[in-house]
Amino acid sequence: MRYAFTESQLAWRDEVRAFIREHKTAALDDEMRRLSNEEIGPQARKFQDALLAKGWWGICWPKEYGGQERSAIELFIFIEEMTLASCPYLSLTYTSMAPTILRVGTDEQKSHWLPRITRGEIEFAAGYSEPEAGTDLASLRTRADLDGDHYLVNGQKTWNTGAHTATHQWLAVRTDQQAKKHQGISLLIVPMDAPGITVQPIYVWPGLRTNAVFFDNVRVPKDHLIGAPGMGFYYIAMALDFERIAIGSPAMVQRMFGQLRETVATIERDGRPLAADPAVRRKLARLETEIEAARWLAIQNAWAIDQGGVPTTEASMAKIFVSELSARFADVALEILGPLGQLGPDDADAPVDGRIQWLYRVAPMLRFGGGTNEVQRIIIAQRGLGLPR
Amino acid sequence: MNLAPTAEQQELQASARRFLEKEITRERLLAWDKTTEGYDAAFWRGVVDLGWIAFSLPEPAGGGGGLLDMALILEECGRALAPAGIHAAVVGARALAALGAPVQGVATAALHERERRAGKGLPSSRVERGKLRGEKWFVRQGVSADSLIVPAREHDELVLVNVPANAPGISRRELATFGGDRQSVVRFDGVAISPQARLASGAAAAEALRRIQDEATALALAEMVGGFAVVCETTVAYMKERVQFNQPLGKFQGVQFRCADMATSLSATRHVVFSAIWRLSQGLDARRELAIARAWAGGAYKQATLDAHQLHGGAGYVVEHPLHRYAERAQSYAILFASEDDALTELADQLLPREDEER
Repeated sequence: MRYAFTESQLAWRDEVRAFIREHKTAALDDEMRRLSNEEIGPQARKFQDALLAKGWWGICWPKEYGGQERSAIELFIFIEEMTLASCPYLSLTYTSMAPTILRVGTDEQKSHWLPRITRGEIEFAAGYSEPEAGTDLASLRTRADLDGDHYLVNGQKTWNTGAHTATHQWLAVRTDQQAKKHQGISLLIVPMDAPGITVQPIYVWPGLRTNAVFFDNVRVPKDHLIGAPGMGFYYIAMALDFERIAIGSPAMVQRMFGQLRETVATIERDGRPLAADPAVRRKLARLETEIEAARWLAIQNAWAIDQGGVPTTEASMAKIFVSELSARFADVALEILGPLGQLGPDDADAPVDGRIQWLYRVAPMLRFGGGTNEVQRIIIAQRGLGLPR
Repeated sequence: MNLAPTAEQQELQASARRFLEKEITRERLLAWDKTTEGYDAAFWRGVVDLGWIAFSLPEPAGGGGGLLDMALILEECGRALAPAGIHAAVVGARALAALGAPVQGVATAALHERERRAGKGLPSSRVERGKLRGEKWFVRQGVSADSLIVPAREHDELVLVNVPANAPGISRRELATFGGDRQSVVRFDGVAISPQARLASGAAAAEALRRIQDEATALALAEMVGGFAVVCETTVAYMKERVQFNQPLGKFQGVQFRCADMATSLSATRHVVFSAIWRLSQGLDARRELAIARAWAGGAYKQATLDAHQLHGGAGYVVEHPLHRYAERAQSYAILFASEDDALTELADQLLPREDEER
């Protein structure tokens, strides 16, 4: 038993911190404050290029493919440090899609796609949800029918975040209309410049952009189908479990908590700093306690991966806890800040860079997105505790 | 990072579990309810023969186990509803050994005033002209212990003394607490303090008392983790078995959600508790982690026992079912060792400057 990072894990953390010190500029901070996810700005692009140049696109990838072959705990450290420092870190392309290609792709697919990904030439948008297939993803209808050496793709995707900047769709399609609903789905890589694709913006509550994407007889080479046909649903489930190392980290809340803690010393109410108000002190101490619990659940998830296997229940526990903590944190923090907490990032008087009111509006998505928390609870109950289906 | 006990530690836990499972039967628990000690002589002999009390001592005092190993054994005690006297005896023995005093029989540490924990300001009990006067409350195993470790004030500084429980001037009364552990009020009416009885004074006493408090807390938290795990396992097992409306209760989503939350809360509790214990056992600063563990564990465990009662319904409510014992321990341990209010106040003082010092 050792409830602390090892020497080599600490050395890795120092390496990550040194990288951040070198590459995180004031200009990047400024850009990240101004831009939402409408686009990746030039500063963020520069930062990401530096990550790629360092070979840090594949922290956990095998050395065979040029990766770092580091442990999941080290990936957790990387994500934690990047998030604490408010850096744009690697997208799902690197943390979810590429590892899936590594695990299930053919040798040809690996040698075709992976070098392009590591050179930063490819950015995927995840094409999973449809208007009639959300939580019940296996009901998806977008179809890909074989036509010679091509697939013909027809259908509609929604909540397609990043479709307007991505180079490719990572698309879940039905390739077998006769198979049972979970078994007829495949994963297909579709270039965004293929004729027949239409992208329509959808704006959501916190001002973030996502998209609806329409496919009208889009022709895709047959070899763009990743892994085995009919296995797509299971690949997605597997990829989601790995993704949850990222969604399961409370580092964003930790960062805002640190800022909040400094802020309460500077705001006076009724003739004394907020930090001197016993009710505020108690609330902050309680949040600190919950953040610590969340962080251990996140570490448990990474640690379970390092013990071998896919961390189904651990990932679900971390996802539920962190997303619900984010919502609670934002609410409690807004209550502490009072009227000032309403101010957004564009207002110079906004406490905590105006991020807490933003988190309050983002947190609902954290709870229902990435596999709803209800589904996560069912996963824990049925797969973890063995309760009947 | 390694969140699991080593193979050796797992074997230690497994052997403790075998012993406790064999010894602690439902009938014996009911019989122990009527005893002063909370256990019988044969059971205690078994505990002593296993060497748990001696094993818990630091190596220079002849023991072999550190705080972490002892915590893993106490986790098993918490699972098995073992008598709370084990915790009291281990805390007392480790305290004496750390202060270089010989360990004989069961020593218990008097860690509470009538209204508060010891260690906050000077105690009201006093040593004057070599005599101890005062009163300690909620002394665990106070009536059955062989000696008492008492924090007191002498010339406006803290002293720690160890007095034989049968010394003239000591009177002891069992308190009617609900938790099934044995808590007493102990009065000291001019108890003579010999030079050997003095364990420490001044800053050394304050430091020693803090260490005793921390270890008592850490070991109690380990017991709580063990109990919490059983509550969770037992509830899930019953939900698979109990059929209503022609299906196991565990098939209902409302039930599954409660069970999932209980399991998540257990994982979080285990890690916040053992991260604090691990740091303490390594001699690292654990003030933050201990405060967090106290603030988290009591509430989480209590909630789990109440949810377990809700899910068990009447079946878990009968006195023969052990669930109420876990529920009572969750509450009494939370009160004595893991007060959320106290812990959050301490944690806030670590997080934020104190501006109203008079508070």
